[in-house]
Amino acid sequence: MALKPERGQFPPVLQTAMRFLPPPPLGMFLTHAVRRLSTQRPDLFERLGAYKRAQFIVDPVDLPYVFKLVPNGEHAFVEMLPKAKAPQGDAKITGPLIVLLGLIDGTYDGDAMFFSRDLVIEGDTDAVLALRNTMEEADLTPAELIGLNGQLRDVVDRCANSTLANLRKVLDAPQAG
Amino acid sequence: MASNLTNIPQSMELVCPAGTPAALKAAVDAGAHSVYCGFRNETNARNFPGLNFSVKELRDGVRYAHQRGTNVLVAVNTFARAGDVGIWTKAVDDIAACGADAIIAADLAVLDYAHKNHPQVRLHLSVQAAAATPEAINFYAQTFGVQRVVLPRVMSVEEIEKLNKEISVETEVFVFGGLCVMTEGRCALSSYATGKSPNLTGVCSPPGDVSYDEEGDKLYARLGGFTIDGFEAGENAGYPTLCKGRFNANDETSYLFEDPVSLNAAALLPRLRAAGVTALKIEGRQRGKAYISQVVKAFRQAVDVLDAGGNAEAEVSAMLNAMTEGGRETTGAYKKIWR
Ligand code: SF4
Repeated sequence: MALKPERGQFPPVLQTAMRFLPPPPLGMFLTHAVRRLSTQRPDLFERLGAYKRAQFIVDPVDLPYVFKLVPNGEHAFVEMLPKAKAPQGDAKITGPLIVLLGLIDGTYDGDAMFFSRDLVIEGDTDAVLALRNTMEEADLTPAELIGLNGQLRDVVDRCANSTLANLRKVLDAPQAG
Repeated sequence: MASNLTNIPQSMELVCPAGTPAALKAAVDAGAHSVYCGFRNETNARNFPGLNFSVKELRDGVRYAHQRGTNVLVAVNTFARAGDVGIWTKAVDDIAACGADAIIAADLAVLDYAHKNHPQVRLHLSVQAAAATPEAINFYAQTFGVQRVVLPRVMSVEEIEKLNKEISVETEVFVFGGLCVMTEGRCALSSYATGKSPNLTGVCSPPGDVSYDEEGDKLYARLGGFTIDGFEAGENAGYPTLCKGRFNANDETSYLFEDPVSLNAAALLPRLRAAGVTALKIEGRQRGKAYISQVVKAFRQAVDVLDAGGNAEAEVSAMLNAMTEGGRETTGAYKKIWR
C-alpha cells in the first residue's frame, strides 16, 4: 500500500479496538442520505452520467469496513461490509477516514491528495474523476448530508467543522488545501 | 460587430477557469474579470467526466457572473466532425441564447457559423487554432471578425510584443497552470497512445486510459497501457500526460520532452503588459474550487497592485507556491530557457 505511513490515520490501538466493536448501521443511513440528495439535487446525478451506475468501493484504511456505493439517483445504495468481504467494484478509493471525509466536504482537493499519495485510486479512473467532480459541485456540508435545514443546520455544521479540524490536527492529517 | 467586453477597469483582464458552476462562483467571488467554461460534450477541449456545464447551468452561471460584473466566455473549441456538425452549431446557438459574452472557437466551420448567425457575440480564437503569425491572425480577424486570439504557450515575450504590433486584435496569454509545451492544437501525441487528442475528442491523455498500478514498492502511472512514469514509495505521484513522462533513451531515463512543472508567469506581468497583452489566462478547468479561488485571488491582487504602480511579486509568489504541480514551476517559453 503506497499510502504515506500513518499520516491522518487513527492510532493503531483504536484501529484494533474497532475490530471488536459491533458495526454501526451506517449503510442504511447513507443510502437514505444519497437518495434524499437525488431528489434535492438531480443535477448532481446528471453530472455523473453513466457513472451513476458504477460500483465505487470506498476503503477507509483505518476502519475494519469498506463502503460499497452505487450513486444511482433514487435507486442509490450504500452498503457497509467487512474488509474481507469487499467486492472489487469498478473503482476503489482508499485513504484514511479523515481524508475521505475531507473530500466530501471540500476540505481537500482530490488531485492534491492523490498526487501526495494520501489517497490511492484503483480501477476505472474516469469513474473516479466523475465522482470527484460531482462532489466538487455538490459542496455538501455535514448537516446537509444528514438532511438538516434552517438554524439547526448552521449549528451542526459549525460543530462538525471544528471537530473535524481538531481531529485533523490530532491525527496529523495533511493540511487543508 | 460584437461589442467590447465590459466591466474591465484594469489594464489587463484576468480570465479564469470554471469546470463546474461551483468553480464559476468561486472564480467570480475571488475577483475574476472574466470566466471561461464549456459544455459537457465533445465541443469542448476539456471534455472530462463529471466536468462542465449544461445549457441551464450556463444560463444561471451567466446571470450570476453578470450580476457581479464578470464576463463569461464559452469554449466551443474542438474541431467539428465531417457530416455531423449539429452539436457544434447547437452549442454556438445556446451560448448566444444564454447571453454569454464571447465564444472561444478554433474550427473554421464553427467560426463561420458563429460569425454569420450571431454577429453580436464576440469571437475569440482558441489556442487550439494554433495561430501565432500575423498572417494567420489577420486572416481570422478579417474573415470572421475575431476580436481576440489566445496565443500558444510557445512564444517569448519579445515575440508577443512584435506580434502585437502587426495585428489589430487583442491577445490573451496563459500565465498559470498546467503547461502544454507544444502548439496545443497541433499536438497529436496523445492519440498515438489512446486514439484521443485535444482537438478531436477534447482531451489530452484522457483519464479513461489512465491506470495507476502498484508493483512492489513502486507506483506506475500508465496511459493506454504504456508506462509514462514510476514513483518510489513516499515520492509525489503525477498524472501521466504523455509529454511529461520519464522515458528511456540513449541508455538514460529522463523527462525527455518536458519536466512535470507548472507554468507561473506572475513575475512577468509588467513585461506582458508592456508587450501589449490584453488578457491573462489561468489554466485549470479540471481543478477544484479551492484551488481556483486561491489562484484567482493571487493574480487579481497582482493586477491591482500593478495598476496602482506597485509590484506584488513576492506576496503573489507566496500565495501561489503551494498551488503548482509538485511545487515546481517555470516561466515556460516566455523567457525561452527550457530545452
Ligand atoms: S501531450 Fe503535452 S504537448 Fe501534447 S497536447 Fe498534451 S499537454 Fe500539450
